[in-house]
Amino acid sequence: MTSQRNGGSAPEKTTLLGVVLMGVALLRPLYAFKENRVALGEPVTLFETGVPFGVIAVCVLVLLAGILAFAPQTTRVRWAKIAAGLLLFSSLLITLAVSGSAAVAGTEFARVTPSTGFWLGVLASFVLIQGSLHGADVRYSAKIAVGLIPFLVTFVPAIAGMLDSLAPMQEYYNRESRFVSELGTHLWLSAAAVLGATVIGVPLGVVAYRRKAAERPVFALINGIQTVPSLALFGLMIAPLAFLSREFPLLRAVGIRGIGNAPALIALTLYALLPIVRNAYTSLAVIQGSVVEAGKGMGMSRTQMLRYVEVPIAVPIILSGIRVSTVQAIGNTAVAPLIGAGWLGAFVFQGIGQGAPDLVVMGVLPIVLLSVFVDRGLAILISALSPTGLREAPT
Amino acid sequence: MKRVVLALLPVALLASFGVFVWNEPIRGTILQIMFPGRLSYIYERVSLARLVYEHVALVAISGSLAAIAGVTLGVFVTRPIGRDFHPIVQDISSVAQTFPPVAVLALAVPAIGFGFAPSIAALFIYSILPVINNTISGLDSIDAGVVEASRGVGMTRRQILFLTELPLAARVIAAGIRTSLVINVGTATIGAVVGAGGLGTVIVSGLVRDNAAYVFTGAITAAFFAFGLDYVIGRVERRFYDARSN
Repeated sequence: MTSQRNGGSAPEKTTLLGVVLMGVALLRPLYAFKENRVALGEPVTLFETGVPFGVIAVCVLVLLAGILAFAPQTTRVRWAKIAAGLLLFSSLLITLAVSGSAAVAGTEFARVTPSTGFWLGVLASFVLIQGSLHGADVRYSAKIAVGLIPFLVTFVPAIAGMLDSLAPMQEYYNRESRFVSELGTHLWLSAAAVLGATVIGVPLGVVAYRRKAAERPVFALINGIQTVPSLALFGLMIAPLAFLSREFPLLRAVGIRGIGNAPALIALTLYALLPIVRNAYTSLAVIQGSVVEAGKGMGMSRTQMLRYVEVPIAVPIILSGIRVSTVQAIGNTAVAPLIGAGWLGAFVFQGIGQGAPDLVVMGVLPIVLLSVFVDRGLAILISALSPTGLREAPT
Repeated sequence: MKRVVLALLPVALLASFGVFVWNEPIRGTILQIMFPGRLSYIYERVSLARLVYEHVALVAISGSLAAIAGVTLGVFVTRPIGRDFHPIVQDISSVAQTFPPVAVLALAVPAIGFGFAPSIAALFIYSILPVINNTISGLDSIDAGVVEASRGVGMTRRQILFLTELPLAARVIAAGIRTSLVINVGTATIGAVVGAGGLGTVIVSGLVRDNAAYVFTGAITAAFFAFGLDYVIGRVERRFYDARSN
């Protein structure tokens, strides 16, 4: 549908939304200052941070975005809004870091926790940037670059130690060595589950397609598995595995027990099946369609068909299934600490147990970042592997 | 004969589920056979029936609010007045959908606190996403010619929405609500960790006390609940479409 805007007289509503969100953010505390880990925080708004540069930068950027919302939305104006959004995010983070360091200087246990004002500001920046990226005539590579900037702006100062006053960072330092190994295990287990599901799922999808008698039971079964709540599936794995481990010493010897990695890995693999089976099935259905007829019509040999038609079509579809499964597996792995397997989720549950919200944030952030990065990364890969004629912009 | 058995199967399953939940002696006996030599078989702090009620309440409240809000938002961004927000809403909801449910639930604790109400809020936020996505794609996929034709016969905007667009998108929207509810049941189970109550409570308690009977009680009940809900919505959907296509 074409928009009925004429000559930019109507304001751009997404930008206005971003400005309003940032306006609300200014009224909320940017961070809370805490004497120690469990102390109640004292809220500090942006205007109370004592960082004049930050206050001025944020106000100017909000004003600028507000004005640009009413300008005709040319490509240049959109890029200006994207830049304003990126700068807004950076200013908020720098103000937080500078003011936080000053506040905790000379104390031993004090720390600052980013508050609603900061998170709303992040959302406002996202709305400004993303809203302007859509209308702009932007190449996909430029979109990726813009998307990466906020992460660079966060990671570089974090590694350089400039964000050390932030409470989640302090929680991280307290568990640095464990964090790295938990992250490794989390990745390894998610990957193993998806790999297992691919090895089982693709043939299962082929069987379901080839034999109509198998189709319904296969899909009923794996649909059913997906329906079972993750915690329940983990729980249901415990009893049978404990039984097997008790009865067969060989299994016990290789470390299969009722709790721990074995039940978690089995449950995660079962969960990862559905998207992979479904997409393997779909890819066959697509291949068997008219594309193959066209290939035959062109006189392609069996190997040529496989090489130029079937594989290029099937691989992206199967990979899309793997993408959904991987993102799901990363999220489900986060529940696994409850059945005695460690991993990143352990920090989350520890944080909840100890009433330490900063630890929760510290545990959740890597899981969320992992999901988002893996999702985007696979989307880009799938788009690159798709035959040019079938290619769509990654979503 | 086969048809009778198939028709009675859900009823029989539901009946045995009811007995398992409400009749503690029978449940105790079953668990005793399955897990011999435990100290306790019946979770004594809260009755299982009570946990089922809590779980139903969590899912029903957050799920129905999410369905209403999600459809409303989806309709809003496909109207001329909200069209500007269409891309941003789609972006936010697709990014948010990659967030693990545990993350959303856990973040609700620092943001709004511990217990039943914050869990409702977290479940609401998470289960609104599939509804928004499906409402938008359902409404977007309607052939522009059909809308044009409705306008041609003199329907008002509201009539077009309620008599043409929503009925045509209903199937996709319903699929979104179904996904949202099934995810909701699963997420609500984890909600026990943040004090939401519900069936996760007995699972978590069993895990903490190393009591497989507790874990099994909660897991099988939660699994049955999710299964049953999915089945019932599927049946309602099918009946609805059969009735309309006749």
